[in-house]
Amino acid sequence: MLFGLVSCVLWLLVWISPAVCVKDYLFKKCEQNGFCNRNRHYAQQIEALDGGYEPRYALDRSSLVVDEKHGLIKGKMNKQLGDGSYRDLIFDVTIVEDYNLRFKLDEEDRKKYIPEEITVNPNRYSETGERAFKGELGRRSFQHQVLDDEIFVKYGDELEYTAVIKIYPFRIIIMYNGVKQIVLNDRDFLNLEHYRTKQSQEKEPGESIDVLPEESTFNAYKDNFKDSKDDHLFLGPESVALDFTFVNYTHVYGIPEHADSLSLKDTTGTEPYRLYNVDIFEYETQSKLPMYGSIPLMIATKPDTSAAIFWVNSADTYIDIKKNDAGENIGGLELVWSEDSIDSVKTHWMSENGIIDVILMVKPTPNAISKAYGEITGFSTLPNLFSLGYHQCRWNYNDEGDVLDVHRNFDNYEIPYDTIWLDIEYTDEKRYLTWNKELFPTPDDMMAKMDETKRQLVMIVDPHIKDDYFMAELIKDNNIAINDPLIEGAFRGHCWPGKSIWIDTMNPAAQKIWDSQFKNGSSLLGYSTNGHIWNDMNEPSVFDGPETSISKDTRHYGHYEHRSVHNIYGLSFHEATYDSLIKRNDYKRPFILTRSFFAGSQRTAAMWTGDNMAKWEYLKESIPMVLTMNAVGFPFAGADVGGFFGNPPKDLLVRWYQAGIWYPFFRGHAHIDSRRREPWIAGGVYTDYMRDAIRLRYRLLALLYTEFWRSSISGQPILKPILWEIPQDKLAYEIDNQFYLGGLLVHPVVEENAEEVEVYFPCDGETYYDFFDVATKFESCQSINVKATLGMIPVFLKGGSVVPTKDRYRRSAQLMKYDPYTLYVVLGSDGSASGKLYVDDGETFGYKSGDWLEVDFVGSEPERVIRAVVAHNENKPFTRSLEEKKVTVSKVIVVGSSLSGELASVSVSQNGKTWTADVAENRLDHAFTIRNPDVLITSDWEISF
Amino acid sequence: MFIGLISPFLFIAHACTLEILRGVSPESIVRYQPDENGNWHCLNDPSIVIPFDRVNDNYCDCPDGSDEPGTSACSNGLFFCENVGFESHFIPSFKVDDGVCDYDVCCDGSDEAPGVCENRCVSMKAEYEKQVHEHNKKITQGVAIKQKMAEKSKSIRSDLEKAILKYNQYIASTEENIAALELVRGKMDENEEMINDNFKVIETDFEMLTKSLLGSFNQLSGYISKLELLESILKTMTEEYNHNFNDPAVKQAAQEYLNFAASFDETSDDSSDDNGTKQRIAVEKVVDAFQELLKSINEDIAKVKSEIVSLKLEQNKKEDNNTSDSSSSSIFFETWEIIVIGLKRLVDSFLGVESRIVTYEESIEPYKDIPKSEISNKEAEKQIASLSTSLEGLKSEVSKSESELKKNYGPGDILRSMPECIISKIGSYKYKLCPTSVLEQINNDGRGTKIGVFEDLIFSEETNNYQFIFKRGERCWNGPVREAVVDVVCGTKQEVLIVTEPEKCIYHLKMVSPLGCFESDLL
Repeated sequence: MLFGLVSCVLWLLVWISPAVCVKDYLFKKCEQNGFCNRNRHYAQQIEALDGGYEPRYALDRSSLVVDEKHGLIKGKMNKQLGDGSYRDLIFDVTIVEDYNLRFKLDEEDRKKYIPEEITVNPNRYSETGERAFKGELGRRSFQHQVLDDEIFVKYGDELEYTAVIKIYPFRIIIMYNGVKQIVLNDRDFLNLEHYRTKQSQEKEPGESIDVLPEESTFNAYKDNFKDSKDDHLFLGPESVALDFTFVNYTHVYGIPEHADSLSLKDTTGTEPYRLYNVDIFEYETQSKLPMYGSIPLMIATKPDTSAAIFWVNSADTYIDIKKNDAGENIGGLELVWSEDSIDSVKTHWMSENGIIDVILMVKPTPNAISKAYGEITGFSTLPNLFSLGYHQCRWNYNDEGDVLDVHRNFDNYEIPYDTIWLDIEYTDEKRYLTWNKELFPTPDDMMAKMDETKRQLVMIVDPHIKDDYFMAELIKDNNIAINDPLIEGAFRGHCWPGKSIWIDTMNPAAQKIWDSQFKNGSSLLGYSTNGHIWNDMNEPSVFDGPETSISKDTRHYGHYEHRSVHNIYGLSFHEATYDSLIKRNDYKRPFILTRSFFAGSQRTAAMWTGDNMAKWEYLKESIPMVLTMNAVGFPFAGADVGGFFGNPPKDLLVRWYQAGIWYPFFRGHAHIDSRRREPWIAGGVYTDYMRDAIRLRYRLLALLYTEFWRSSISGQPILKPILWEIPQDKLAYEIDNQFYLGGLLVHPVVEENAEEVEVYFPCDGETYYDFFDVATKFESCQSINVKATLGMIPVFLKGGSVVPTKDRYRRSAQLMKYDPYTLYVVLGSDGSASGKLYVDDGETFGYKSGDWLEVDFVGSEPERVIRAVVAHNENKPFTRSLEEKKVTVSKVIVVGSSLSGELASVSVSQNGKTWTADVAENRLDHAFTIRNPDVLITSDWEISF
Repeated sequence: MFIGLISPFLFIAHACTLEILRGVSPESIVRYQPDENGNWHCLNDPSIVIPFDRVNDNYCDCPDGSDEPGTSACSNGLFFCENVGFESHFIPSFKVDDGVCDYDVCCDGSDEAPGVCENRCVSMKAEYEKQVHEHNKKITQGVAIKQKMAEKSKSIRSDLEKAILKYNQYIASTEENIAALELVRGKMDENEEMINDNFKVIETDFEMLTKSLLGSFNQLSGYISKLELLESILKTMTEEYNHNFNDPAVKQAAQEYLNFAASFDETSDDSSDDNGTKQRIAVEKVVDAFQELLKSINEDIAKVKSEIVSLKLEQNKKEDNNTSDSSSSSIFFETWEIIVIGLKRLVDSFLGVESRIVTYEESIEPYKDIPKSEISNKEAEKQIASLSTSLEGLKSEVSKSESELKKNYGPGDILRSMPECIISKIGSYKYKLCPTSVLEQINNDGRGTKIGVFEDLIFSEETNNYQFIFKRGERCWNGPVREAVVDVVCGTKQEVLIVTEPEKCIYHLKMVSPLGCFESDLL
């Protein structure tokens, strides 16, 4: 807050930026937000009774239906009302995908209580899962046993899971290998605000059977937050809330998007973490305020197990976290058993409406959680190779000449790049899907010129449609707008073009209209093959709306209120774009960047962290933010390099490039009021350092692409938090300033004037080697200050890994396609190393029909051999072209060897032939280089020494 | 016979060598020979020795990149494109074998594997020659125009210098005339002095009033323009502020401005919100006040007039009857004429205008030598007044010309012969470039925004051409003060070609002008 004030004042004084600091009064705090206020109140009331509370929710044993084979238990749950009567709820428990437990709870036949004049869909919105999941979830069978007060459910390949469902008070306890992991409704915070009339609600306290003594009626039928006063709240209070305890855990991660640390903080006495997709203008760092996207997945980890909650709800949501650190409670005293003597993380999830739908996962490792979550929501897409290159963006490149100048300058300065971006000014007066023909008279020619060196163009297309041209007419004529709550027809609000309407991509009819704007020959993309789309402002951002978004009582398809689908609307928009682009060219992988996202967005888009600032603290914040995205299965993430607002000093810009090359999505971007800052502007050593950094990114593209592929089949992070790689190392649980990429450990420099950084070498028993100077090594399980002057990037090779690179500078990613590889074979503590390389054409869906190449590298000093085992299908066009072009491994750098200095040559064999290759640069005492073994990448080979 | 046998072998060996040495220029081919041991030395570091078969083996051994002239293995290598039929070039090795036909350097397509890029040297050469021809034609014509411009600039300068000389001569002779006339006027009778004294009082009063009125008027118009500026700022803000900022202070200010504007419209009779009208009303008020003042001054003058008349009547009585009534009235009217001239000057100076513009032709009209001893005092006074006016005009003309001479017209005074302003329409704006004064952007409504004031014309090393610098334009809303550089490229016309705004309110223009034509650019 202080920072905010100070920077505001500074801004006024120096007039450097157009921006105002984030106005946190624009966004609802929990106490100002009806449902959050009420549920926190509810929880406090129950806690105050200190065990004396009589819970109101119980399973109705008589209604239970159990279908072991189809993995289903369903029945009624009774909610006891003020007069002792019950309201019927319906629940089901299923075992889905890789043995995860899903619990759903809804009101039974809610429709019968709701007056007919209310035009909102009377059902609670229950389709969030359908949109977030990759498809229908597979059910798993289980074994069960119904006792008097509980149901035992055993599941898993070896029945390693047990769920104990307690009848009253209602609980679900999940055990893994006999150890308690998660308790659902541990603290009886379960609350489903059943439908009640305003009249009932407003009776004197204690008079209404609907309002329970532990309940509050705050803002139940109105919203007194100053920008939300017009919210009609037609259905009154309808929130859902539930608590979960992670037993014996100390750390939780996930629930982006917040500009906060990787390890989530205790929220006692502070704001809860909020998930509500908003256009948060110049957000602050280290904050729990909501941001542009939401993924309601929280992961807890300890050395032998990891557990996760996936809260499948797309409404406004808050999460309270309370950590019980047993270590602190014990202090120096003798251990006395109590609840407090067990580590736990207690969480309280509160959503404004919808049903309760939650999936609980328990696995041996965080990676296994990532996989399990990916099996539910889909793995991240295997992207176009170009999109892993450098993206140059600015609001705005003004015209065709400007774009082509920037394009040429990259080559003049010998800096590789793949993509130039066009922000909103390319359009005809912010009418998306049109061009400003005076500035861009021949976009086809411009794109063709860029295509000569395989460069790409990305154009912004937002969901707000200026209410004065053909697109608005199409939307209105087809009734596919987000509609006004009161009058028939489209809701109107302000955004970039002024008065606008919003396309409702939740409506299936919208797809066809959207498709028509992207088909070949359409006005925006013409017949180009190198044009791609950026979906911004899809929270949706509404300048004159509450919390800079659309009113919660506007209507979507199916007469659902916006409040039910708010957090998933952004996903529906970028998915619609994806589907349109697939229809345009069904063989090509589309590239889409989205600002708003939800669980499942990883299937079709990349994301970036929105409008950051050109300040050191934002560079620093970007690392935990990107790591969190990686932790929750949406790894194709990055922050604006350089900072969107303001003018970065040259050293900050250099450091940002040096950090940005590690973001899975690597884009430089700048606000329209900032100075130009393309890498050559700074000049001198600064430009040299930026060029070095960007070229390093391209050197590592083969590794990065392999990691993207790995993620696309396993859900694994691409940038791995240390604890993902080494969950046994509890010292690493809060480290969020370094990470792994394949076998590389990286610690970006994010501090001003840093001459060195303290690098933590995790407790994995491996030796680490400086990537740029393999002669320098570091032992594990220690923190060491490593030299890191401007120009230096702390990167370390981890013992036991093989890292593939391509060393030649080319102008763009696709132009490196047939260049030879260099391998780093970094022998580990046991003298061996292994690694993988995945290759495909990087642009089509050919890989889906088997046109790919997978190489497993193994190095072993005891066996004195380095070996490659290649898997690929015969006669596929791209892999065949690799053979024809004779793509080779032209250098192997062996690190961590005791044989250095002893070898003059090695023996190489492939395809029945044997030859020798020289050993060069063997002066180091633990590394040597094999000069041009000249082995083809497309078939098995062996180097023995 | 022997020779016949050997030579085919030699030929084959030679051909093989050529094939291995892809990317080597004919001049360098001698340096790519194995030594007696079949080895080869890096060109710039002979201490590094490699087997000759490692030249062009797609692995970089030499730090200088010399062992891989025909592959992309060395980052610092250079590949020779022979481009038969056109000009040979070296291409950096990173462009070799990357699948891109870099025809701009390698028209023969030799930078890629055979069959990838067709040879375009013939057509590119023809195209190039055509372009060279046009380029040279343009330069030749442009240089000729520029030459004429330089001459014209020179003659404008010399005309100015000549004019100053002439003006100074006239000043001298006018001053002589005035001096002579003043001698005559010295004999002026006491009555006239008395009258003059009376008028001095009036003059002083009038001057004071003039000053204070002028001051008020300036203040008023200052206020008006400030108010207008503020109103337009608020209006722009209200219409264009970014709702995204969602700043209550801004919203409130916008709302209050709207209220203010509405109430102003209510109180004003004029329903139009045209600012010009408001200003006109204000000016009219000032003029009204001025007329009021003039009326009272006229009354004063009438009083003086009657005084003079009575004075003259008295004098006439005293004098003999040899002077007629008509002469007495003629004395009166002559005096009156002096008063009128004086008043006219006062009024002129009040209004801040010169009573007439002394044109070049008029000012050089020679003054005839008048037989001074024979003219009356009044006549002398009249002539002095008229000559003084001319003198002032002459002097201001001299200082104008002198400052014109000193003014920056760029290197070699070249801009003296540029058109005063060049107007080109680009996109939705017109750009008005006045080479030595101002650069403006004019929108569809004809409203101009000053991008900058001429600061200098410099020769830019970077573009190897002239560059205008315009600075201190209007400040951007929420941004910096506008400024621009204008790069000049060769052409026979004078027009603005391209306008870009790489950063907000920092403009880059490109204009064509003969100014940008240099013989050294001939190809």
